[in-house]
Amino acid sequence: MKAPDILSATDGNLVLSLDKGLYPLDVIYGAAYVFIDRAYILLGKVDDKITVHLTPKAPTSRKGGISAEDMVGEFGNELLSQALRKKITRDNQQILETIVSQALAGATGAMVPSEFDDDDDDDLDFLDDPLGIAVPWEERFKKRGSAPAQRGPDTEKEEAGPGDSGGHNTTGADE
Amino acid sequence: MSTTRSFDKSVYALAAVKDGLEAYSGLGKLSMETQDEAWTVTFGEVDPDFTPDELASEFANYVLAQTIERRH
Amino acid sequence: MQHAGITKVDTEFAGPFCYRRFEERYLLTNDLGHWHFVAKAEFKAFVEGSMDKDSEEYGVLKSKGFIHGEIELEEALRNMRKRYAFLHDGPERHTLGLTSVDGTGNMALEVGERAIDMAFISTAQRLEFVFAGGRGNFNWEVLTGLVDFANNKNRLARKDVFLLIRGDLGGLTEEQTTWLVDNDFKFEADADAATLAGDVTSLHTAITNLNSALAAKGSDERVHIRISPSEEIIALGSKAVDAVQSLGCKTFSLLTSCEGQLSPEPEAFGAFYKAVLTQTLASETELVETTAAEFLTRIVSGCEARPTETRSPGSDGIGELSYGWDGTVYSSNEGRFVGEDGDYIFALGNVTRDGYHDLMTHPTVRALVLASVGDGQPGYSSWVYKPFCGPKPSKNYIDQGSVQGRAADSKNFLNNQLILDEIFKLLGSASSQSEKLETWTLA
Repeated sequence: MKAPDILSATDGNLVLSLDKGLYPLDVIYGAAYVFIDRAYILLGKVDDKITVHLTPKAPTSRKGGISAEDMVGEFGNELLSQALRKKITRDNQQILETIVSQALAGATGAMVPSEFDDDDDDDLDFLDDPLGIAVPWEERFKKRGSAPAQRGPDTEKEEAGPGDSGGHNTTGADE
Repeated sequence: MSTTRSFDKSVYALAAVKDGLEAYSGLGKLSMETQDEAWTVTFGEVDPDFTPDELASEFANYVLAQTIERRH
Repeated sequence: MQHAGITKVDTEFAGPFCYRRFEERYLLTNDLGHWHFVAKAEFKAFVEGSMDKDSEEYGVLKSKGFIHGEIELEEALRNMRKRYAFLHDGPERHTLGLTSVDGTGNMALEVGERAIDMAFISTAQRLEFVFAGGRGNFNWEVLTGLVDFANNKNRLARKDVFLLIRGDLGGLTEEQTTWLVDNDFKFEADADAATLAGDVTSLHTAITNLNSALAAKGSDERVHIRISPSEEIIALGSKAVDAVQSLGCKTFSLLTSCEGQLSPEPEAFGAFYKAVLTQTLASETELVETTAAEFLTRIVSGCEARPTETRSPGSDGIGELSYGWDGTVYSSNEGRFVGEDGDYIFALGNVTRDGYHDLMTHPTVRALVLASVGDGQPGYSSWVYKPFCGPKPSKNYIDQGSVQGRAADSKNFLNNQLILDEIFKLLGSASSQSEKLETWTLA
């Protein structure tokens, strides 16, 4: 894949040009979204190319600053990663759906009440629950109506990969 | 003195731009013009805590994020 | 493959595999979790389909599911069920931030009780409550109140409950130590550089006293040491192992990054890890490095022992939850660190207003699960260590700005690869170290 063309690089502001044939808009969106907290980004279009205006933001306490030069490299890497992830997700959609579904089902499954023998000789005083400790929170403080439960602090939605079905080829790497 | 940002219609969502105008309305005098290929937002009388360019850049990021999130 | 002189791939002979070259040998792995070293010539014969079917090597590869069309299906299914059995359970590890990370904000008893209520709704039979204190502040009255609450709760729930205290244990009084030991707590100490350098710090004294108390009680447990790879600690090299031994500890974990912070550079980390591993294996006392043990549990036993940093799918949200001092529920303890730094990307809700089901069906949990499956991430999907190590979304986010990250230039990926390279070099060496490593499983 061809690296992005740098149309201009002045005073820390970069303008990149991306061939839409090589970098579909979805891929550009994905890469741009990753950089939104580190750079100001404006997308444009010139003929068949998408332009990306990138201006690194000032560093914060947690995220260090990044030079414009490094940002071009990282942005290019992120574009490649997004494009490849799109392909891999498409190829492995069935496996991914199976695993994710099972993982979420396992976590959300209803608790199975434990069976106990009425003739069990064990001390049953644990059934006395004068403080209502065994009562789940949801029952004790019933939720109001059918409105979605209020979330905590706003969380960003993460994009799930798009996908069609496909196979997976063997591959590998040298040390 | 005012600053502008143009949002190409083939890349950005109008609803996202409008969302941005509403969200940032308290931080300056924002207006939008529709051209053939883009919507152009002008930033005037910006809140003194920001430079016009800062506000315009944050606005652009907001609109980009809204555009992307609308696609999913 | 060029190094082996391979000119064609016979997909009717070789089943799906990934490989990595180790000088003149090749490590093969497959999605069934099997692995095997082959010499260069045999690798070429395997891939090109010219291997003698009567050879011993063919027999081994066939038994491990590497030969196309020769997989023992029932056994393969059993293996896969065993490998993924943990997916049937909900969050097992529940970390309660008794204080804020900086030790200033204190969790209220009511908030803690709600968190424990939520934890007991988990579908997991085994529950591990990790009581974490910031900067040595363990919010003692709340801690003891919550332990009572959890124990009472469990009288009815009948789960396998484990209690663990984690943090700077140096501030614990003798009375507190006695109480914790009497209540069957496990201990995890975050070791600082001075303690690991052998200085007699308050932490050193606390750990020694705790280990003595545990031994006096007749327990096999000892304090577990957590070593974060800060620059200072990396500079200590294998001396850190000497310190762990001298404290009387039996287990320690060398983390791949300081919680909530950027991962260290692979070159420095790799040399440090190798020195630590070598020293640990050479030790005559019983000493296990549990980061390696987590990998070895998958490699040797083919299963997961407990929520770990490296399993795939990851534990974020579905294997662990972390509760901030203010009741915010996070998908992981590292997510809590990120949240208390002002970024709430890993926050799922709050114990005061959200239910368990709300959290488990939160879109963030789904996104994190998806991001932690190796089959969906470039670099991981074709990685030789994919069966044994998955992506960690919170580390990706801290290091690279997205929960998916980019494996190729991810320090966390590269550091895990370095650890696994060391492990497999030893496993493939048929040495006493290899034999010792194979005993380092947690299941």
